[in-house]
Amino acid sequence: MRRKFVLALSLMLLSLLTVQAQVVTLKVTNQPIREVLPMVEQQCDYHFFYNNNLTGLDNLVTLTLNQTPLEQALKQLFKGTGISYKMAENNVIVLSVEEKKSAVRHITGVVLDKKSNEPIIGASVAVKGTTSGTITDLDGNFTLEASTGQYLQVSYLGYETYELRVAAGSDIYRVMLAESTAQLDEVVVVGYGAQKKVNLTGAVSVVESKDIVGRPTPNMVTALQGADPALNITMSAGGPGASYNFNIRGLASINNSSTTKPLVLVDGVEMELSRVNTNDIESVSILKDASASAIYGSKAAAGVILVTTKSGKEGLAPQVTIDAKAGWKSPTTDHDFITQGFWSAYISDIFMLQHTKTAMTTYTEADYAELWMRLNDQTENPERPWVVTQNDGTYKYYANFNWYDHYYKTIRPMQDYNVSLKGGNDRINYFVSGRYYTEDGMIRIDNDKWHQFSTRAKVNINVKPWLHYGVNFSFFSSRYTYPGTESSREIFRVGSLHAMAYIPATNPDGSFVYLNPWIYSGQGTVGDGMSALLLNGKHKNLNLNREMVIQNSLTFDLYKNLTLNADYSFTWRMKEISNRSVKVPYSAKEGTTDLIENFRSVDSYHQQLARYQTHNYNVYLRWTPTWDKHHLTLTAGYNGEMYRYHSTQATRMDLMTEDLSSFNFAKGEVTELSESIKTVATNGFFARVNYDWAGRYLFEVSVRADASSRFAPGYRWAVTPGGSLGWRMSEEPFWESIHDWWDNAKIRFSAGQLANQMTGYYDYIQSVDADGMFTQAITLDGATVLSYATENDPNAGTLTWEKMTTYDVGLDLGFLGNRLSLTGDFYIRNTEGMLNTGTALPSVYGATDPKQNSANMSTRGWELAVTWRDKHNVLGKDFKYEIGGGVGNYRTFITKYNNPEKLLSTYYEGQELGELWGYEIDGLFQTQEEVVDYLTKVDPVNSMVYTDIVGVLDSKAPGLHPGDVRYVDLNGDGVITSGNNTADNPGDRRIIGNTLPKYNYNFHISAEWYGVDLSIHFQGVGRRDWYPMTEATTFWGPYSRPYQGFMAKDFMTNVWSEDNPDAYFPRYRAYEALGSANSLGPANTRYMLNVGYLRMKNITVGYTLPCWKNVFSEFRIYFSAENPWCWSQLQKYCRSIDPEQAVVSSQAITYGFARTFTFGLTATF
Amino acid sequence: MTLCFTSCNMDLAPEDQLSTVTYFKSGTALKEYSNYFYRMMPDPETMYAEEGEHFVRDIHSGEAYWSKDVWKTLRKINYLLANADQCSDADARTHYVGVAHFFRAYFYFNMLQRFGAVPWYDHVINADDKESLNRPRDSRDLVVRNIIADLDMAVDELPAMRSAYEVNKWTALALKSRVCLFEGTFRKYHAGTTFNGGSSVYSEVLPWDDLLQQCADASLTLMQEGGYSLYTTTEEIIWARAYSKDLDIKHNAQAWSVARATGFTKRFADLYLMTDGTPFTSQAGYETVQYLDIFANRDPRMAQTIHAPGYIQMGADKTYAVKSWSQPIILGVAAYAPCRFSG
Repeated sequence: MRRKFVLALSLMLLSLLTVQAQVVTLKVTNQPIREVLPMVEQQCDYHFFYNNNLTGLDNLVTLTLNQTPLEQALKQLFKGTGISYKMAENNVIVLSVEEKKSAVRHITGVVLDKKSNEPIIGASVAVKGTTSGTITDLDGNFTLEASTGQYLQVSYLGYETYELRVAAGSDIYRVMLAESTAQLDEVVVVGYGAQKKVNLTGAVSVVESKDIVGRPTPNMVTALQGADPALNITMSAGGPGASYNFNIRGLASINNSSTTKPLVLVDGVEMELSRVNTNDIESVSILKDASASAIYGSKAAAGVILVTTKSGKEGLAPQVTIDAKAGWKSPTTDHDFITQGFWSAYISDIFMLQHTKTAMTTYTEADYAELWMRLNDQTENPERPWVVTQNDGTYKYYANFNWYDHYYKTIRPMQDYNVSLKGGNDRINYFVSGRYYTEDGMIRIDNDKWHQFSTRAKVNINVKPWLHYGVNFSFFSSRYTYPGTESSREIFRVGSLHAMAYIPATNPDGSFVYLNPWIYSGQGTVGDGMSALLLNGKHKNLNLNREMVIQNSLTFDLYKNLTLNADYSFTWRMKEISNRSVKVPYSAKEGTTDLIENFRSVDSYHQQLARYQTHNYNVYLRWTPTWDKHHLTLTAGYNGEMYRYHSTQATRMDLMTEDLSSFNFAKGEVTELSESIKTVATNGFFARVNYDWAGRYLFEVSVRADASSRFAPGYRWAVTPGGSLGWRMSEEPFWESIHDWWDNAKIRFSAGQLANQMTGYYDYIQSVDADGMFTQAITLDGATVLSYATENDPNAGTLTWEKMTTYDVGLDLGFLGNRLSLTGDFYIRNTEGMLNTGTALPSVYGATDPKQNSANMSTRGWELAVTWRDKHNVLGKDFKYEIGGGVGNYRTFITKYNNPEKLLSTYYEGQELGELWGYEIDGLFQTQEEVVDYLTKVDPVNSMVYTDIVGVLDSKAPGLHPGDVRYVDLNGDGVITSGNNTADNPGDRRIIGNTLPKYNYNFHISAEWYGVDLSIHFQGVGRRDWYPMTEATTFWGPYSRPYQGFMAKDFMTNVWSEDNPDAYFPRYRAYEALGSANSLGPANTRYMLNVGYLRMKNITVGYTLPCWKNVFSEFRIYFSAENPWCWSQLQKYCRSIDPEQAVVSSQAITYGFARTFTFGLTATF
Repeated sequence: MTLCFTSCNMDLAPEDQLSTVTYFKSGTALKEYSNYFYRMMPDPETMYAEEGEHFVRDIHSGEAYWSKDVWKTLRKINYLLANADQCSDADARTHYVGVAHFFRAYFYFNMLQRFGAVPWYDHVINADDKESLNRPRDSRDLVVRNIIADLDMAVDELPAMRSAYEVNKWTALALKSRVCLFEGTFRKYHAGTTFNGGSSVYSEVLPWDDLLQQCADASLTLMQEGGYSLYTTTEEIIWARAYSKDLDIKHNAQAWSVARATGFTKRFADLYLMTDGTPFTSQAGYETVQYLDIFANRDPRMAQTIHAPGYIQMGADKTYAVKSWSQPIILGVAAYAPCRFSG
């Protein structure tokens, strides 16, 4: 026993001694632990065992140890790191890092209603990302287990879900839940504030984000088409970066320059609609009448569009949303053109033969036989080559070439990626987004490409309970690279001329085709050189746009209900354009290469750099006192803005290389070197009073005084007042009985006056031009030509603002729990003082008569919108759906204008804007007898419509023939003329139509059930008249120019012949539509087209996957198409013109309009 | 935030263009601006096209002599005079104010010859200045006195340089001489008619002999101090319009004189004196003198101006009596073919 004790003791002592004998002596300064370990190992008889990648091993440590026992030494060594050690057998010390297992602890709290402070019973409190949770008790209290860093999600029906983070050291929480905004309590953004929708007295229309966000469009311009019947948006082309025109309720002034466009504000800063990321949009408010816009003063003369972007908010855990889509674009119009050379040559020949005595081509019977032989060769058959070299080397062409496919890509890809992050707590909230969009353009050769990038970051901070700070930064960049000439429209405009199917684009040796000698003039310029130019591939263009906006705002809560807001925004934009062109080679003869001699085939480089800067300041007070049932909101403040534009452009000829473009190696003449600087400053003071009593009687009045540097001192200020009244009948006691099914009825009336500054930047200052040249040159010394300086003609010193006064009467109704809602407006807008040439001054004045504010016009219109939304429970899941639509129309008349004779060449009193004067055609002559009979009543020689038919001396068959159009002699004077070209004497013309859109309408359907969502948007114009003018070659084909290459395959079936008497087009004859005095030149009833249309703007079908709920809060896949379908009466007569293209100009030639098809997915986590 | 109240300055001037507010400060500016007035110089084409007395034309042309474009020159002249004070260079100011005075006199002289008395404007007319815009004729005497006053100022202000093309002191004297001669003889031979002077704001209408005396005085000064001499090529030219092949400044007066074969009237040709100083018209039977004898013993300048026997056309090797464009020897519209502009 005693021996065992001694053994144990001695063993213990031994082990103690062994351990105690381990001491460490070392001194290290800033050495990694990793290196200290071997030192310890050396001194002690231990080995460290650890993972090389252990965290903390590389931590630097400074230690001084003097005979320190090992345990203590190790403690000191690993102090501050997460490394823990464990003594194991065999003298091994194991090192490891402790898993920071945050302690799960008791969290308690209370959930209250934010407004009433009452506890919410039965609210659900869940730990986000787990399955644990609980419910609040009768006092609103809850308790559960959670650890630091986890999020609690508090929710209750009718309230906004609130998420809060469990903070270290904080175990008790108080959650305030805010009620979800019901449909009626919806808040609408208006000028310098927000109003409850039910209290709106002005004509304001709201576009919800769901109608815009996620659509496969690069920007919101096309997405807004159809948002409201009052909004008219016309695209000038269908290509990327196309410009657009838009107005609200029609043109506000006949002087429709850039100053008469509606004001677009994004979060209060002026921006272009085309540079806003659609996915950032929270809501869009369209201020249609003067009372709503008056607070914005002179810039708002044509209406205001307020765009509000998404923000973070309190009680939102950080949420990331990724949206990615990819797809393709294809043209909206048909391009089934004749590609058989035989027919292409034949048609141009027969048309030309009716016009002159020669055919278009010089092809003989033998040539036609060659063409006939190749008729069905869709691709070149080596036995029958498309280009036959003649004995002298000249190429002769017998091709079946598809020029449309040669120029244009019909299927082109696009991609769109968007990422956003938002979240917030009670101190700070944020929203950050980024987007990248790219699409390939339509031009096949040297494909044009569009890249677009945008980003936004918004942070709002509650610095103190009474001080809030916000910063809003956005950046947009677009880059468009394209081949060809400076204007990408040129390819569409001239590319098809002389591009006949029998001519290919390249010769057998690869050289480019430009000159076609096989036509009567010997000088057919194929595509006007565009094909050769594109194939040559050295014409390069770049269009770059970058814009950055930084906005800082401060809100001071001065006193209960009184806040002072101040914000400053800086917009900086840069635009860079560069265009390079070279001399283009071509060949018409084997072995000979020439250079094209036209204005597009020159060696030059052009560059333009423009910078825009805007500083904008707002300072205003807002006071919202309430007492009893009175609610008052007073807003008053100041707005100042400074704008500066500076652009430099230069062009130089003859560069030393075709592959690079820089002025540094241009050795030719500097043909352009100029600068343009524009500055504007505006000052404005505004104030508004909103009053309502018990939400029943509503009143608003606002006023703004604006000064602008564009006017001379003394004429600078304009005052724009506006006011409106409303009565919510549904809140009256007498309404109680019907309130359950008729929830809302409001009638409102508004009136306001806006002012428009319709001048240039410095019109009251006369500028001096120092480079005047005499038409009959003079020299004073025989060495230099005399130049002179002269000032431009003065404008009237009394030039002042144009005034627009709008009166609006509106009705807002809601039925059946607001499931059915209806809004109607009727308005009158009078514009006065539009600039107009004044009365003519005597010659002694010595300068052109100055313009005066002397023209007036008046617009009358109405809008109606109806929406039905409902929800049913189908098979256990909610089925939500919504159907809505709107329609509107307006007419504008000139009420005063200085044109006493009512000349139709300019405006006149009584004119309806858009009216189209034209002749009447009552059909085609079918027989010679009809022609003879007509000739007894009408003299075509002295008429202004048959000039070519009767006049061309060497025509094969001059004079009228069966198949020609028959003009009606409306005034019975025996000739078809335009009279005196006045409204009282228009000759044989009358008003045949109107070129402005009539009856804008839209409707949409959306539905959601079982995770599947569907939405379809339609937009349309009821009627819009359009006459295809002389250069509308896509419509007229060979009637305009017999060498028009794009002819519909079935074109000839619409051409009159004795076997085809009911045809649409008359007897075939070239150039009939090219001259304004030829039979198809002037506007007439027969060929005037209704380009009103119905267009499916968007269809989206999506499915939200029910799985992965613990990872993604939402995962949705979808298909979305933009512009997939369109119907128009125009398509009956011409399927190659898009109805929106027709109204861009009378030629209807633009970069093609496209439809987009995409597949995408959205994930939120 | 107070800074925005002060920094939103409303008085912005264009930065990429000269404006009338800043332009007239330099002397070269005045010169450039006054260059515009030279548009009033007649050119041979308008001379032929005019309904002048001295040329027989075959075509009438109806120019508008009372258009905004015509009055535009006066407007610019008055504009310069109104703004010349801005110029810091005193010499330039005097010089170009002189140019302006000269051209204003020239303008009104042309108007006087064509229309008689016209409204006199010494200021730029504003669009709302109804009184100026609708002013009736001023009296002839007022206009003439103002013309002469302008010329007197011009004589003092213009530099005494010799230049055949640029307006100078001698040009002003020469014009004064012409104006006074014209008006003096006009009043002498219209005495007693309604055309004589008209009423005057002065105590009396300027008498014709006073005018002729002024003419003589001006002419004397010009002759003695101008340094011009007669009958040599360039020394004689007081004021001309220059053409230059190099500068591509051309005219097509040949179209009139050669192609259309315009010529001088006999009345004009008869004005040339005999070498002894007596008028040709005092010779007996002067109306029927044969063509080849007309030129005998006449002022040598006649042969300089009109094709005379012995005249050799440029580029030709022998003389023709009269040469026309396509045919060698035909008589044109008039027999007195001008030497100048015919080759």
